[in-house]
Amino acid sequence: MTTAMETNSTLRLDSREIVYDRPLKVGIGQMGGPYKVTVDPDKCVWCFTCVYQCTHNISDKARKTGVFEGVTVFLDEKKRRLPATAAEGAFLRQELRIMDLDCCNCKRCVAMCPTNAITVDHSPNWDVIGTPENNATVIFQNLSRSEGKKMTSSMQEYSQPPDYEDFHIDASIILNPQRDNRNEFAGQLSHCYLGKHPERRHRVHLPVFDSHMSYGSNSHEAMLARILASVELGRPFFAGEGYLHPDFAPAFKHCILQFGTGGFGPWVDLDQFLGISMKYGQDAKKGKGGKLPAPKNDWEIALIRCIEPYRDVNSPNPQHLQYSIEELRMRIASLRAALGPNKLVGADIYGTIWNIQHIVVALARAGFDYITLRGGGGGTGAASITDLQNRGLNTLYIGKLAHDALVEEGLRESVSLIGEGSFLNPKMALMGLMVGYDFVGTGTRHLIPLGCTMCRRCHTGQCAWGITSRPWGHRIDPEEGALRIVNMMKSWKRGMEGLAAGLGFTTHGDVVGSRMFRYHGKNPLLYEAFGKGPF
Amino acid sequence: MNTGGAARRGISPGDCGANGVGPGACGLYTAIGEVNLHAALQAAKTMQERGTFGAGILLRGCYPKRKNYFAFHVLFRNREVARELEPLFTEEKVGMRHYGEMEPLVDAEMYRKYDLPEMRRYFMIPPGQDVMLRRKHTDNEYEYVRRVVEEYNQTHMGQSRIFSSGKDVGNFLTALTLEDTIRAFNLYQYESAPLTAIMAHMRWPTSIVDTGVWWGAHPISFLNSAVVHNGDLSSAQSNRQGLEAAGVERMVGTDSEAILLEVDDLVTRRGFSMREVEWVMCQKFPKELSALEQDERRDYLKMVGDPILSRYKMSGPSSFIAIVGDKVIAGRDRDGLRQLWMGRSDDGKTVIWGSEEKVIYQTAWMVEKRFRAINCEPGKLVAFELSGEGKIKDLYGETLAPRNAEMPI
Repeated sequence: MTTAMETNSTLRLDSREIVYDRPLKVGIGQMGGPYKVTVDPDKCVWCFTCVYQCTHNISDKARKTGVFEGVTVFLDEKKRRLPATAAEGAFLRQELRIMDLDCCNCKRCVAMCPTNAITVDHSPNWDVIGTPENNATVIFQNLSRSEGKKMTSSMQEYSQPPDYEDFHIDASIILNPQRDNRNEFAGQLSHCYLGKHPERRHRVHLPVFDSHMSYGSNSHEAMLARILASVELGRPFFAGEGYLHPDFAPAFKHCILQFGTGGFGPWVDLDQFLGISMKYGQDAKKGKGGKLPAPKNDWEIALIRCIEPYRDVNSPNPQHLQYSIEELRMRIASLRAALGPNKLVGADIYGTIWNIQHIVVALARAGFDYITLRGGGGGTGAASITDLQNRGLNTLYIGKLAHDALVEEGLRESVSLIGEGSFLNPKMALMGLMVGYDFVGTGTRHLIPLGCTMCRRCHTGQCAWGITSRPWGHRIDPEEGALRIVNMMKSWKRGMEGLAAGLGFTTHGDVVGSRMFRYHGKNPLLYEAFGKGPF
Repeated sequence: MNTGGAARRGISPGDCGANGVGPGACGLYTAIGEVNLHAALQAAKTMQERGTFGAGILLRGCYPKRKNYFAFHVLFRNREVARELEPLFTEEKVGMRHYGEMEPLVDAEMYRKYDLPEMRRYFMIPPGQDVMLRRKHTDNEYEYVRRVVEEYNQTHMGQSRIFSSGKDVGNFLTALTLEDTIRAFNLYQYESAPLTAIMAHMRWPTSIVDTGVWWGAHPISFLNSAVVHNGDLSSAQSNRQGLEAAGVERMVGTDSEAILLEVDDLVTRRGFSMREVEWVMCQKFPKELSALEQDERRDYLKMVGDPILSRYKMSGPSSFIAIVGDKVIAGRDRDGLRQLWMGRSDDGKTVIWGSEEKVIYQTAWMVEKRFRAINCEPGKLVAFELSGEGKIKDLYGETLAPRNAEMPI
C-alpha cells in the first residue's frame, strides 16, 4: 500500500480504520458468530498478514478472503466516496474489515500477527444467553442448523469432561532400583512387538501409535510429517483408507494400509507395505462409513483413490458388507496367499458392547495379527455432531471386555490389541495398556504439533494451518513438524515410563493387563469394572 | 511401640489378613539332604523376631510307613463345616479312596487354647487307570490327584482347603508362632523319620487375595511340589497372565504360587534345562546379554521373545526355594533386592538356605559340621536333584560342591 502511495504522488492518505462488519442477514442472523475478533488499532501496522492467513469463509464461499478483508476506499475533498477508478487527486482511506461470523477460533491470525495486535475470544453475547438447559451450545447449534450448515462438526465437542480424571493409579509398590541402571531402567516401554506370531511380529519402539487417517483427509505435508515421525520413532505408520501418495514409496515398508468398504486405491505394490488393516467398523462415525467431503476430493486425491473428483466420497455403511464372521478364516487365508506369509494382517473394529467379546474372539480365532478397538471418545472431521455426543462406550471398558474374553479363551497371546479413542495424555495411555491393550493409538494428538487448535473445521477443507486443507499444506514444514511430533511422543514415553516404574514394572509385557488402578467416579459401568476388587 | 493410630484403625501388632499387615518380614529356611529336624527348627526359630506370626513347615519323608499314599492335610473353617465335608474324603466322593484309621493331626489341647480351624489328615489312594481315564481323562496318577485337589479347592474356597497333598510329604501350617506351630502338630514326632528335606517359612504372607481361609500361606504346596518365597513380585499380574495363556490352573493366585507353577511348567511339562529356566525367569540385563556368545544370545532372545515365556519373567524383590518333583531350585531376583544365604556342609551331604546368614551358623553349630556359606548371586538359579534316600546331586549353578571332589590336581 505504501508503495502505491509513493509512486502516485497525487494520492493522499486520509485515514486508516478498523471496521467490524455485521453479517448481511436479517433477524437473529445478525448476531454473528460465537467468537469475537478484535484488533488493537494502536498495535496494528497495516501489514495485512491476517488477511492472507485467514482461510475461513464457509458462510459465503464467493468471498475471496476469510474473516479479514483489506479494503481501500477513495474519497474526494469532502470525504465523499468516489468510484475505485477515480484516482487522480483522491484521498485514500484504508480499512481492515473484520467479519467474525466465520471465525472458528483457530488462532492462525493471532499466531502470525507480527505485533500481537489480534485477540480472539468468546463472544460475550453468546456466552450470556439462554437457560441452563437451552444454553448457548443448544441455541448456537440449532441456529447453525437453521442456516443450512452441515452438522458434520469436526472433532468432538465435549459436553462434559472425560471420565479419566476419576481414575487413580496405584503407586504403592516399592520402587525397584535396577542393578544395571546405566543400560536398563525401570518401566522401559521401548521393547514391544506388534503381532504375536514369531515370524510375522514387528518390533516397535513405542507403545503409542498414530491412528489411521487417510491421505486426503490430511494434506500432503501433514501426512509426510506424520510418516517421518513414525519412522523416526520406530513404529508402524497406519495409513487410512485412501492408499498413499507415490512420493511416500520409500516409507511404504513402515506403513500399514487400510482396506475399507470404499475400496479406494489402485491396490498395487501391496507387497511393499508392512501389512494391511481390514476396516470392519469405524468409531468416528459410529457405525457409519467414512466420508471425504467434495472440496477435499481434488484431482490428485481422485487419481490416487481411482474415483471421480470433486464429489462427496463415502465408504459405504455398513462395513459388515465385506465380512461375515464365518468367512473370516478364509479371508485371512486368501490375504496371506496374496500378500505373502510375513505381512501383518489386522482388523479394525468399533467397540460395541453387547457382542464385543464374541467379535474379538472370532477375529483372534481367524488368525488376525492385531485387532484395533475403537472406543467412544474418538472422532474425526467427518463425524456428525449427534453421533459424537452420543458417543460409544469408554475405551478402557471395551478394552477390559476384550482382554478378559481373549484370556478366557486362551487366545490372548496369539493376537495384539490396539486401543483407540481419546487417549489424551501419557497417564491415559498407560491406563490403556494396563487395561489390556498392547498398544494405544491417538490421532488428534499427533496433529497438535502441526498446529491443530481444535477449531473443528476439518470437513471444510479450509484449515488455515494446512493440516486438513490441501491448498494450504505448504504452511507446514514436514521436517519441523516431524521433529515436534517425535519430541512430543518421546515426552509421552518418558511420562508413561515414569508411572510404570512407580508401579514396579520393568517391561512392556509387565504393564499390559496389570490393572493397578481404581475408578472412583460416578460412571456406574466403570465403577463396576474398575472400582471394586483388589488392585 | 506406639500403636495408637493403628489401634484406632483396628490394626493390632499381631493382626494380619483382613485387618491389615502385621510387622516383620518373611523368613525362609530350607535344608535338603542329610537333615536334622531339631537343628532345622532351632535354626528357623532364630528368625522368630522377623517372622512374628504365622509359620509353615514342610517335611519331606515324614510318612515312611505310608509312602505310597497321598497324604491330604485338609483344613475346614470350623467343626460344622468339617462334619459336612468330611464324607467327601471318607466316603470316596472326591474320587479317591481313604485308607486307614483317622488320626488327629492337631493336638486337641490346641483347639482349646487357640481359635484354630479344624485340621484333619486323610491318606488317599487314587483309583485304577481306567477309572482315572473315565473321570479326568488322564492315566497319570499325579495329574489325576492334582486335578482332584484343584477342583476341591476351587469348589470349597472359603470353607475348606487341601493344603498338603503329596506322597510321603507333610505340610504343616498355622497362623501362630513357630514354637506354637511345632507344638500344635507335635512335629518332633517326625524326628525319627528319614527326612530328606525340611522347608520352613515364617510370617503370614501379606499379598493374599481375599478369597478363602488360609489362602496363600507358605509353604505353598501341591502334591510333592512346594515353594517358599520372600518378596513381592511387581510382575505378579504379568506372570498370572502368562500362566493363564499357558493353560496352567492357579489354585491360590498369589505371586509366590506363580513362581512354583512357572518352575513346574518349565521343568516338568516343557522339560527345560536349568539354564533355560534361569533365562526365562531371571532375564538378562543388556550388559550381560552383550557378553553372551552369539549363538547363545540368539537362543536366549528366541526363548525370551516367546509371548508366553516373556511373561514368566520375575521382576521385583524376591528370593525363593522351590521343590518340583525331585528337583530343588533356589534363586534370587536379578536386582538382588532380597537376601538368600546358602550353606553347604564340607562333606557335601547337606545344603541349607536361609533368609539370614545366622541360620546357617546355627545349624552348623547344632549338627557339629563345617559349612561354607555364601549369599546367592542375584539373577542366578541354583539347582539340585534330590533322591529318595536324601542323596544330593548338583545340577546347576554355584552349588558349593565339596572342594575335595573337584580338586583337579
